[in-house]
Amino acid sequence: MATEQGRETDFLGALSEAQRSWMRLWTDALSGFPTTTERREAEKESPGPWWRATERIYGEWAKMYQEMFGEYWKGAPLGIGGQTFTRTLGAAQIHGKLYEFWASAARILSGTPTEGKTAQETYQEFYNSWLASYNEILKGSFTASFFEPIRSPLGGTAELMAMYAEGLSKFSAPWMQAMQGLPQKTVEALQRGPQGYGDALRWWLPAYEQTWGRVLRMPALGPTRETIGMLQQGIEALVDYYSVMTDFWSALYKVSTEAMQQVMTELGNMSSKGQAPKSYREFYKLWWTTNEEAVQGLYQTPEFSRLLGRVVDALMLVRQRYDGIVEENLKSLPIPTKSEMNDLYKSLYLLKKEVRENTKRVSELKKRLRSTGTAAKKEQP
Amino acid sequence: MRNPFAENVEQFMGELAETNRKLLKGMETLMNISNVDTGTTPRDLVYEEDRMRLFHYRPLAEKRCPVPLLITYALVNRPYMMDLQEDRSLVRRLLEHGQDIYMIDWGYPGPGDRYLTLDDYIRGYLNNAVDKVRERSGLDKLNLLGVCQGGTFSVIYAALYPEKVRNLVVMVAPIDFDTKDGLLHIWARDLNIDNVVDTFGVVPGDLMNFGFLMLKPFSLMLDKYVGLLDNLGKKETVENFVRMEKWIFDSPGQAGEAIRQFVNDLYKKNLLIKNELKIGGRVVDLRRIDMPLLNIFAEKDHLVPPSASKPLNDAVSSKDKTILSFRGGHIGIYVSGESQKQLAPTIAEWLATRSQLQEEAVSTGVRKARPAKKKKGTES
Repeated sequence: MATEQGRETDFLGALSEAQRSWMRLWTDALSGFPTTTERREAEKESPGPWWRATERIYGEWAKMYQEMFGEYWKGAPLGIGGQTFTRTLGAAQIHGKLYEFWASAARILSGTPTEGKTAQETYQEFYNSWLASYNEILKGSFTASFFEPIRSPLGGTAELMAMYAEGLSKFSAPWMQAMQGLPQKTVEALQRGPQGYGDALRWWLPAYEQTWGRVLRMPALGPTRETIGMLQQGIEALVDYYSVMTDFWSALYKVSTEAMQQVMTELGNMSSKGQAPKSYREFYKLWWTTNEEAVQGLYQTPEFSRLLGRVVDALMLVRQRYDGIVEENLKSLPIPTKSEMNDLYKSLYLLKKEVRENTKRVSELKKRLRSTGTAAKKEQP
Repeated sequence: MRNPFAENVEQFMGELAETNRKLLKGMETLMNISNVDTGTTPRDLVYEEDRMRLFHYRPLAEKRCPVPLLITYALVNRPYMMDLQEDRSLVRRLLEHGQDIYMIDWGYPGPGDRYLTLDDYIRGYLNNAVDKVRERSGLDKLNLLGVCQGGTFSVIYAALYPEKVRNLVVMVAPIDFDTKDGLLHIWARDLNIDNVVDTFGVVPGDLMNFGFLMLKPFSLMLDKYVGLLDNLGKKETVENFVRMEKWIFDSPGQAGEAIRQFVNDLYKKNLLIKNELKIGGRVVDLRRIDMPLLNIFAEKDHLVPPSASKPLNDAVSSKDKTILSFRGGHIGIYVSGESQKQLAPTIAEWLATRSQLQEEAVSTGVRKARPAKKKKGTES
């Protein structure tokens, strides 16, 4: 109870501080607000600093809640309330990020086009400038708690592999330096987001296969050859998994960015007809329904189905390699391994099945005996 | 384009203040939720075997249908969806309409359950549960209601043991797996389930959930929660939401060998509808199903599309068979208002008119007793 009270006090303190921060944020945002008349006048000129404040305010607000309540729920007992709240705030944050997009779009689209450019070109220019940030929104939408389940089966796999990979990467440093063009590809990847990253990885993989990949596949020698061999296979599986996952993400991002283009076109059409969304919520609905539809279209394709199959296979291989490494390391300890437990489970399963069948047979035989006995008694004079 | 800020700055700030207020109120609501009870309809444990448990619900109507009804749910989620809360409970509504209900809870498989097969579930646990209900009722036959994957199990069971099933009801059950309407059916073709089972043994529920959530990422992982933001201050709404959340993320793992056969023989090879599926060495011939059949599908089901459920009626040899369309989705069929008001009474009445013993009139508990009607080949 004392702990709970303590937690409650901490929470109230955090709440109070967060509210103060919020008020400061709010005041800052509002301080630049012109009056309605001033604002209308200001519309003719370039937007004031209050625009930028309002663009960020929703996102900042969601972030504040995420941090504040995230801390609180960390200390709280695991429960459905906390999980629901965390997921809701995660959604609020994405909602907030999209709001920034909407606010910027609305400002640009309602203003005059850039000199020498059509409205559509201004539109496109803005959209392109937003792509990098938009990837953040998509990442949030897909990963919020969506990919956690696929990460969790991996457990510490990635960390363990990363540790080994880090050690081995020291050997690969000269190779990495010798890779002509890698810096340029990296820059492209950073500029173009996941699509660029995917391209860079695809460019890099054959080089990896021919060089470092061959080193990893080399038969290991010496007394630790088995262990080293397993590690090599594990790293190779992890590289393959990352490669397939990149294709997977690229496919999703590609469709989602295309969907956003579609949203923008739709907005333009609606605007020209005087039917533009009257509120952010309307825009938000248009955004997520268009995205959902686009993703559904992708999902229906045989290519995506095959890609998903590859993702699962690659993930399973990483897990198998990881389990192998763990078992290898547990050999010297006096505890049963997963394989040994599986053998035991199988024996137990077969034994239980046999007992169950025999029990049934005995029960049926008893019944038959009883009925035979009863019949025999009846037949006796 | 109209600039939303030019005219509506105050409105925006007001909206933000309102959301801020709702979120704080929502925190208060959520902090006060210590336990969201599900499955509260009174029941008794009457049989258990390994992790499987068989419950008998206490009656809620004066007159009961003389033939007990055994409900079998899917392995992939928990059966309390059938009894989520008092006003959203198909079980409760059926009890109020005089049904005598038993329900199987498959439990949560542990690592040692990886070798359980479909044969163990259907000819083992399900058959033993059926025998227990028969023994308790003193009847040779019972009514069987299978839901989702549990519906597939019920159909297989009825084909293997037609002598033990008086009436068969299936809800949103996949039977014909060769359809392009549902994503699960499409994706399963490229899923190497052998690899998954060999890796995990018992396939984690989270991994299964990942597949289900991925089907509609924006609505299931984003918009649903954004919508909740608007209602965070309403205690009852939040409690209902949290109950559903609890159910969605309460996913048992899947016994490896059982899911291996389910995916390979049903999703990939579609053996059930072809009468080629083998369970424990016995061929499952759907033509052996000759008892009255009520097949219910949901028009907007994205998990089990109507095209996967409807073909059952053409595959069986029952003379008395009814197909019922429900306006809603895979979950709404258990918890929606329409389900409570219309579906439950329809099922109860369908069963009651086909469960009369020795010409004895049976009441559904809310309607007047009436003589039995013999339906011949009815399709609606």
